[in-house]
Amino acid sequence: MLQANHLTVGYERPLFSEFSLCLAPGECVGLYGPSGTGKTTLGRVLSGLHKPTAGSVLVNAKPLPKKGFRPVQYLYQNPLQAMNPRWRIERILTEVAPLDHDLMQMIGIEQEWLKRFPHELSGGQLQRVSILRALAGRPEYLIADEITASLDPISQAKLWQALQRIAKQQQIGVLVISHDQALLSKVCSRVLNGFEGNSFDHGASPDEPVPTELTQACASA
Amino acid sequence: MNGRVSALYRIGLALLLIVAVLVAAALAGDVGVRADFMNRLSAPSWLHPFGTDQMGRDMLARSLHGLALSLWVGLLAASLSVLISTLVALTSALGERADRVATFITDAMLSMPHLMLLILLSFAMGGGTSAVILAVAISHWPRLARVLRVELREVQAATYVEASYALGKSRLFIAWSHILPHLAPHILVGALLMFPHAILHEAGLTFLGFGLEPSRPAIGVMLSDSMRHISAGRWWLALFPGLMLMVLVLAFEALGSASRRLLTPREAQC
Repeated sequence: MLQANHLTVGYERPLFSEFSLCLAPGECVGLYGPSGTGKTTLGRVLSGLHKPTAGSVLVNAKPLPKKGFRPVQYLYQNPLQAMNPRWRIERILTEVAPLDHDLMQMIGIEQEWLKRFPHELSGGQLQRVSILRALAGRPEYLIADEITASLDPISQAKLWQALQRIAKQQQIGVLVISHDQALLSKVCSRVLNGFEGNSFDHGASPDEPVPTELTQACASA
Repeated sequence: MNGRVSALYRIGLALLLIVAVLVAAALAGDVGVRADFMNRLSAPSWLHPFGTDQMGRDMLARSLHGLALSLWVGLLAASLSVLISTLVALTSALGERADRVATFITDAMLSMPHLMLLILLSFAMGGGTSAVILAVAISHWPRLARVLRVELREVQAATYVEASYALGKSRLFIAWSHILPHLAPHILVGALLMFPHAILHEAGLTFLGFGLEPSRPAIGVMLSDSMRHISAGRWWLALFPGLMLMVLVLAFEALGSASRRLLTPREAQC
């Protein structure tokens, strides 16, 4: 279970405060909100890339580890920046663990891409690489921050289908951050809408377990 | 032929030229140093393609000796200079205060006109080869130090470095696999581009009389000597050593820019 307890996050002024969230393994939750309200910052806090001003993030009731592979992996909107421009795709993919060819096939990465540099792949292809790299370390949760915002509808659908299948198979909880409500309602079992009332947690709070039907709804989506 | 392959060709050609200069200078032995008063100031001919000087020395052999000497001076001066700039840039990475001190020193050095500084340093150290090397090294590090500092800061803040931490990689792994490979091309290209600069300054200083000893077959000494003969129509004394120096400098420029293309795959395709 990924829990965010009473998070207050901000740079100079708080972006949001007293925010709580609960994400179960295998569950797929959407986060919708207007630009500049702190969706990305929340994603970064949940994956341990940014420190909250107050509150805590727990994975299975333990704080996020400071060293080693983070159980909550953040997927960047622009994967090109998240890859060393001097490395070929093969080296990027094996930064954490050796290549998993089944997973590679499932997510639709072709063998011939491995010898290329990141700038030689398209946005959709790179996003697949980025997802596979995060999956290689066996994460428990993924924060998908607008990962398909720059893709065409067909690539979007393919990518989400693959990701949903893998998340279901490996019981990975996914927080989908997007401004595309149609996408969220299709992909996610529940959608948190904005930071209204300092908390957009409509489903579950840290004290109560996630209803199983929601988990199942996500898994079968 | 794509950018990477053509860059490789240019690197090969430049290296070949540089090695050829060194080998030819070694093969020439004391030809070009030994005086031969029977053949004073003869114009270019098949026997002496670059002509001879006022002491009858073969200008081709002399130019080759001069270039070989320039190569050594350039190599030492450029390496020393790159070492200083790398150390200063790494100091900036230590913390806010260290960065302020390093930046202040760099800016202070940059605020001085470097030719003045060069002449002063070389003069203060009494001239000669080591004085020229030290003067060029001390006066030329700040520009590269600035570039390296910016690159270091940029790569430290790069998203892929952040991602690597999140993927559980150690500081050592990141420094070795992400940060150093990002800095290495800048250090290498900086050194290669510093090289022609050092060679030109060595020749310039020597030409002005603050550099190498007049007894050494250096390009600067030859150009300086030729000034006394050029009005008498002995053009070959100035033209050929100057041309050879220019070709060598261009070879290093080509080596530097081709390496940069090769080491940054993104640029190689543009």
